[in-house]
Amino acid sequence: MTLQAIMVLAILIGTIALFVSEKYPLDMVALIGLGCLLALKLVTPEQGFSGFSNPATLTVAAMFILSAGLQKTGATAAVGRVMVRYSKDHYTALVMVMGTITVMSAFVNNTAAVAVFIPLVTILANRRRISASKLLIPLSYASQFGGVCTLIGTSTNLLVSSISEQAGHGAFSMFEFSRMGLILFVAGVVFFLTLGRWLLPDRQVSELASTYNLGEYVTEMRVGRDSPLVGRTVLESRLGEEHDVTVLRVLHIGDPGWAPLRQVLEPDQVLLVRGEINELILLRDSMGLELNVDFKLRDETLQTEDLRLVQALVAPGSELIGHTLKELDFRNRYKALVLAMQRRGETIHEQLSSVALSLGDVILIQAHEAEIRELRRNSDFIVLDEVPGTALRHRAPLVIGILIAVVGLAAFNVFPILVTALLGCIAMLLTRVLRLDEAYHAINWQVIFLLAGILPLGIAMQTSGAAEFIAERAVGVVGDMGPVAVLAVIYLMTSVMTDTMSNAAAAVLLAPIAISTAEQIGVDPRPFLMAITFAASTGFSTPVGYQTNTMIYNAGGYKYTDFLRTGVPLSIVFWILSTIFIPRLWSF
Amino acid sequence: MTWQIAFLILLLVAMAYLFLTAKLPVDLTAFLGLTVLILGGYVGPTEAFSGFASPAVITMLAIFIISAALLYTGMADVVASKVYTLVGSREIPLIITLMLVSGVLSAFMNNIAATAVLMPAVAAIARRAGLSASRLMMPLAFGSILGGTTTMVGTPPNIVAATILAEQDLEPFGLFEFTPIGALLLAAGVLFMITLGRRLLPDRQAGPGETETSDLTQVYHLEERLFTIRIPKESALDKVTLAEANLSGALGIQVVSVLRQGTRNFVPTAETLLKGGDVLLVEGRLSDLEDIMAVGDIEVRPTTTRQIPRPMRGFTAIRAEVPEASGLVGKSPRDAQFRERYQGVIVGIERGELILREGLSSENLQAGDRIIALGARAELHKMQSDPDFRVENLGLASLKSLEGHISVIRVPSGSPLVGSTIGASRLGELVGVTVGAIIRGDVTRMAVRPDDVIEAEDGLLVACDPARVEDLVRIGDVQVDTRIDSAVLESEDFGIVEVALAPRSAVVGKRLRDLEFRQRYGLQLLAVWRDGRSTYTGLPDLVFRLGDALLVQGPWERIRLLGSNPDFVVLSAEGLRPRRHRKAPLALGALLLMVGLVVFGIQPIHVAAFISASLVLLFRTVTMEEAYRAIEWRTIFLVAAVLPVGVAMERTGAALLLVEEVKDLVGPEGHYAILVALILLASLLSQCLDGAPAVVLLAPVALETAAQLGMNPYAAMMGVSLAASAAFMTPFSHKANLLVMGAGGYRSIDYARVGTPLTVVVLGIVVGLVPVFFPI
Repeated sequence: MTLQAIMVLAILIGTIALFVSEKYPLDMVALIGLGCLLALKLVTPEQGFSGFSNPATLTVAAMFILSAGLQKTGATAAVGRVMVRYSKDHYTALVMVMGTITVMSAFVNNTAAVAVFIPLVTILANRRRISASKLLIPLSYASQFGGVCTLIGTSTNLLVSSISEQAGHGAFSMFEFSRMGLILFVAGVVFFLTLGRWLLPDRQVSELASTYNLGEYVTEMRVGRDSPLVGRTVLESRLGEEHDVTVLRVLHIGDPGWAPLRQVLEPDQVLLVRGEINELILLRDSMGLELNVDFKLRDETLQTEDLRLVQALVAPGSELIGHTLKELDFRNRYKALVLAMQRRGETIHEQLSSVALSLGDVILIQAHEAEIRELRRNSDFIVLDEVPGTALRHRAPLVIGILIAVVGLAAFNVFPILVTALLGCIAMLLTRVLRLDEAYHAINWQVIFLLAGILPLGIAMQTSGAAEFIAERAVGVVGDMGPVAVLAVIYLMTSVMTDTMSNAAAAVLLAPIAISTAEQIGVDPRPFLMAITFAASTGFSTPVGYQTNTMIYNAGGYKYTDFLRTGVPLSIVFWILSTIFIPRLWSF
Repeated sequence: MTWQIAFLILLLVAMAYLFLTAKLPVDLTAFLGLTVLILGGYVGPTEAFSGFASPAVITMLAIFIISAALLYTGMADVVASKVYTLVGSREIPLIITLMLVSGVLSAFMNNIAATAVLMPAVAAIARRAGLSASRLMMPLAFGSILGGTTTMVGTPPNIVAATILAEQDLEPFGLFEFTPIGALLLAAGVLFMITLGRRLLPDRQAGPGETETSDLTQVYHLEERLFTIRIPKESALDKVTLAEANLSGALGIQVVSVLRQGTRNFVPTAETLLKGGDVLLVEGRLSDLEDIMAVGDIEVRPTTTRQIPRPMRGFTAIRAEVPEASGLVGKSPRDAQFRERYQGVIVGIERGELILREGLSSENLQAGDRIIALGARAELHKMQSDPDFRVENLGLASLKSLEGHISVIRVPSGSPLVGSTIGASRLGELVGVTVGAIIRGDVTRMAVRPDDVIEAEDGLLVACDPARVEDLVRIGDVQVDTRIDSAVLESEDFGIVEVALAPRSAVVGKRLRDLEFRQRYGLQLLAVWRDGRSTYTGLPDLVFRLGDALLVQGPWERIRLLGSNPDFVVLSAEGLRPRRHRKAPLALGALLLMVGLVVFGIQPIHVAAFISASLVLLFRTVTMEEAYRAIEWRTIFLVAAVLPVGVAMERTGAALLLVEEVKDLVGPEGHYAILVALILLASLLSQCLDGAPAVVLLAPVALETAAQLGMNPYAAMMGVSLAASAAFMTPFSHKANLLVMGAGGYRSIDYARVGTPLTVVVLGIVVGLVPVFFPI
């Protein structure tokens, strides 16, 4: 092994370690890895920066823009509404949800499709009295196997295709994956109709107040006659700052105002307050507030004709991510009160204002109907009760037409997919479905820079001989068992790496190894590359392995183990099916 | 000339047309051009997109990120804050220092970031030095543009020029190869600004003798629009929320802040309870308010049709339809002289479901309208025989649809209304009251005319929105004070500042109403400075544009919060946001590393820049989000999309063809003429397009010319790229210009006035000096 190969391996291991540790953002790790490669001259500058002009990177960027157009005109939601209409019971609902999302995400990027579908599935679940937790994991998983039905369905497909082309093994065609994708789809639906039903948890939708355990945190307190708070306003009482206690309502006052800050407190007033029990007991003693022991919280207590409780999901690409409610001045900015939060399968009630929001967090909000309407229109949230209409609805057929043209022209090899996707973007801009700033905004730079930064590592592995080195060792271990066994191992490795780090990184790092391995045992590398594509595009086993899983984590009220319980068996099913069918569809 | 070349030249002409007319966004035009090239088979798909990985694009990306690091670590602030203490308050030294500081900064930062980062400091300096911001802002922007020309990485045109040379297998420009000419350009720019430029710079000053705190209000001419009103202790407004008090509806004023004894000043929300004794700082037209206040001291008695006093025989109401054939259709009652014809006053117009009650005398009547009028029976009776009307009802029952909207207003003897005429009281205009009759003792005067004088104890029979009049009466006892104490506007916890929109600000293109500015930022927007003047009306519907300056008032803590919001640049010391000062050495170190790698020839510039960009990211001097924000995607995409056009021009021989033409034109001795032509062309193109794409488009021509005529290609490229940077003539020719437009209070004409001579100077120096350093 050359010195260069050793250095590349060191950078590879360092990169993987940083990916797994989740200490730094993925895109940053990828860029720094690239910086190291360039500084140590392990790649030429041309190779190093080729990731930025790589067709995969640019096509992914263009697909973000096309997806944004579909979403803006409500085309995605229209498909979702069809799904809601034809779902009659648990079985049809499951088939409809999985069928429609598979079709959608075959052409639209998965996160965008799932973002639109989550509220629709919630509505469907409520209407048909099915627990949403029975449908949301299937939704997320189906969006992933929908993604492997076409070349443009997900970024890893494009990535592996481009690596294959660079290595001289040809790019993949638009519907090359479709047959295998279909097999996996059918298997997935059958899995959820049978075994999956038992594995999925049943978190029956109950009142929001009890789902969030608000009963322990919301109670009534009466202002005692000699309370020091008498005559002061709620704001002046400083209950919020000093005790993390929020006065939600002052009961028995004509106008049930929203979280009244300037209400002057008077003796015998009854306050509805939110706070930790210890703090409330402290208040009872120090502030002369009497606790109502018999208080039983119901949703109605928190809702009036006008005030409502809703759940909102922090959307992908939301500007709120990484900020605390206090920094955002959430209460004044949105005129809405956050009562509790669900994150990573837990409910948070305390110190809400200092929790930094992250993708997939679900917050329980109390606000006026008008304010909730505003929230629905805000792309930073997905309000889980309704899908907002759009003024551009009449443009939906046009946008769908553009997408069909993009796919069709690429499928018949009129132009490469990158060119047709660019044409599609320009068509959307010229027809004013999207403005240029919206188009730039729609591009998820994190993904683009991750791809651009990680691609050269694959090149370096090949040119330095690091891939060959690993492949030799691997062949030494599994080479004698035949190519099918090797394929099974590659699939398994990709799957594990996808669940623990980024799927794009897994694909880029394993593809050169797979190609080298194929060359060494003298077979066509394409089946191996297919195995990598399918494994890297489906991350079922953890809520963080794949972004769509993160999005439904709290919306479905899941626990971490729910993903393991359903994801691992399904991954095994897919593994077995891929090992059987990939060699048949793409011969060695 | 093959058809390929013809088509390509056609495409170029079309693109140039779109660039110049700005019918489409320039980046969209560039992408359209790119697709045409691909579809026409001029470039392969891979080649078409190779621009995204070109050294020019990578260098620009990296420099944007490094600039962001210098910005977020406060490197620039430190320098800026020293300027005032070192230089003092005289204008000429200030201009010199500021231009040099911004020039040196932008030699390694991108020009826009260098301008933006210095703006708050410059505003603070201007204020302390008692200078108008307009004296310093333009020198700042021009200084950073000129400073960009001093190094190869200082500005995108230079980066692009170097890259294109490298692609032609020529040695690219070195990092400091631009420095001699660039430094001379900067020096010339400084010299120009302190001599001729200083005379041409506008002075946006309100006048002499202004105080430090209120000069902003004077600049914005707010002194006529800001005043305080006091709510008396026993006022009806005591313990009423701001929303209920309906001050904006009834009086047409906006409450800016509440000054309450014993508490800090605060910006009220709709739910804020007013208290007797509060002083409200309000914004609106004072003369209107005074007229309204005159109305306020009255007594309102809502009446029903039955209770209308009938002190006089012959007083009645009428309801009549305006038929299609009526001669009144399309005319207003005033034009039709309704009052004179029938001795009556129209108090309501029913139009379908609608009932109009305000501004009736100027409302054009439509066929099918039903008018409701008050007047003398004898006169109104005549309407029955008038073909212009079809009378439906005569008698007080006609007023049924106005039920609840007829009141009698009693004018007490002390009222300011006494003695004024109906017209002068502006009751209709201000409060939406239509006076139908004056009840004076036993007499009812009908057909009230604008010049009828109101007397004490008069009763006015009016049609109006009773709620609005009630609001008015309740408000009536507030006291207006026009003398604004500067302490009211600015105090320990309250301030008034000017705010510019940041480059790539998310609020650009949004309306104030959609932003919910007051709610979101806790600050009151008083005025917007745009196109050289301030606007206070229609603010909620104003669409924000880059280059606007906003005058906002509110608590300092909120202003500081706004200062840390990347969408805004707060133009005061508060705009100096909290920075990661401790990491400044790391950012500087990364920059020096880049310079070192290049100077010692260890790495080419784009690799060196990328390595130090990844270092500043690793050191967390900027987060990834901040980095993405700092990147001017438009410039990146524009250059990446235009690069293949240059390739196509060269490959098809279009460039060669153009050059042949030119060659014949200028003859063999025309090296100098060609250089001048290229420089002029670059300058022209860069006025409407960014500098970098202008260089991309001209480079093939320049290089081909040089090759054909045996000219020095470096001279040609140097000339083109320097000329492309000289974008001073319009606010839109460089984003740095646009950025300071509102903050300096400039109009487009100011840029033309100062920028044109400067452009001439700069181009002259380029023409003169390039052949000296690069013999042609």
